[in-house]
Amino acid sequence: MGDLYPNTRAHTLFEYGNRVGIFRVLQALDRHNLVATVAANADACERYPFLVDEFARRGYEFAAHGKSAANMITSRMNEQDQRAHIARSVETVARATGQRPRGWVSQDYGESTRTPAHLAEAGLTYVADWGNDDQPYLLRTTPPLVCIPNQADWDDVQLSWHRQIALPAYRDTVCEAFDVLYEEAERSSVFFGLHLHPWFIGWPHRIGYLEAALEKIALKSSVWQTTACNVADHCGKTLLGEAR
Amino acid sequence: MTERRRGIDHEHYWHSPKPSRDAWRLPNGARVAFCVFVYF
Repeated sequence: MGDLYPNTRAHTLFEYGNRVGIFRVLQALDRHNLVATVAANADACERYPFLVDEFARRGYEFAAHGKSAANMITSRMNEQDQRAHIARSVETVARATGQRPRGWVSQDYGESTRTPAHLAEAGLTYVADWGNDDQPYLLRTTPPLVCIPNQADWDDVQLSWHRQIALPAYRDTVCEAFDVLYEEAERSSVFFGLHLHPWFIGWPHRIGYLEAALEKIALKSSVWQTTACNVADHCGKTLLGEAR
Repeated sequence: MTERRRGIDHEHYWHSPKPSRDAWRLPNGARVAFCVFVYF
C-alpha cells in the first residue's frame, strides 16, 4: 500500500477529539464540578484557541506536553535540542494560555535520562511521567522536582486502545483501583490520576463508561479533587527534605 | 547518543519502599488527591 499521505484516517480520528469528543468530556467533568489539568502540547494550543478558552474559563491548569503529538523527547536528541524542546513547549503554552505551565507531562512518556534535570532547570515544579508509585515523591534534581505518579494502568488509551480491554472493564478498573487506594489511604494518603484522551473516550459509545466511573468516585467523601500543581505545592511543603 | 543505563539506574531516582515512609497527609484530612488529566 505504501505510505498514506495525508493519513486521513488517523488524523481525522484524533481530530474528532478536538471537534466533538472534548465537549462530551467537559460535560462529564462539569457534571461533577471537576477541575482538570490539561496536558497541552504547543501545536494544539496554537491551533485551537477556542478550546484553550473553554479550559481556561473552567479554571483548568495547563501543563506543558511537548511540541506536538509527533515529537517526543528521546535519548537520541542532544542536550541542547532537549532543552530547546522543553523551552519552546513551555513558552508556547504560556503565550497561548496566558498561564505559564509549572508542570510537565511527556509526550508518550518520552524522556531521556536527563529530562528531569532539564525540567527542574527550566523552572518547572512537577513531572507526571513515571508509574512507579501511588504517592508523589521528590526527584533528586536541583531544585527537587515533584514526581506525580502517572498511573497508566487505568489510562483510557493505554487500557482500552493499546491493550484492547473492553470498556466495561475500563470502568471497573478505574472504580476498583480507586476503592483499593481509598481503603489503603487510611494510613497514608494517596494520589489518583485519571488520564483522559477526548479522541478516544469522547466517542458516544465510550463516554458513558467514564460517566459511570465518575459517578462512583463522586460517592466518596474525603477526596481532594484538585490540579497537579496544587498537589505539587502540597508536596513541596510536606515532602521537602525527603529527596535523599 | 546518551549512554543507556540498566533499568531504573537513574541519577534522579531513589528507591523508597512504601512501608518505610512516614505517613503522607493531605489538606483537611483527605485520603485521596484526585486529579483528572485531559490530553490536548
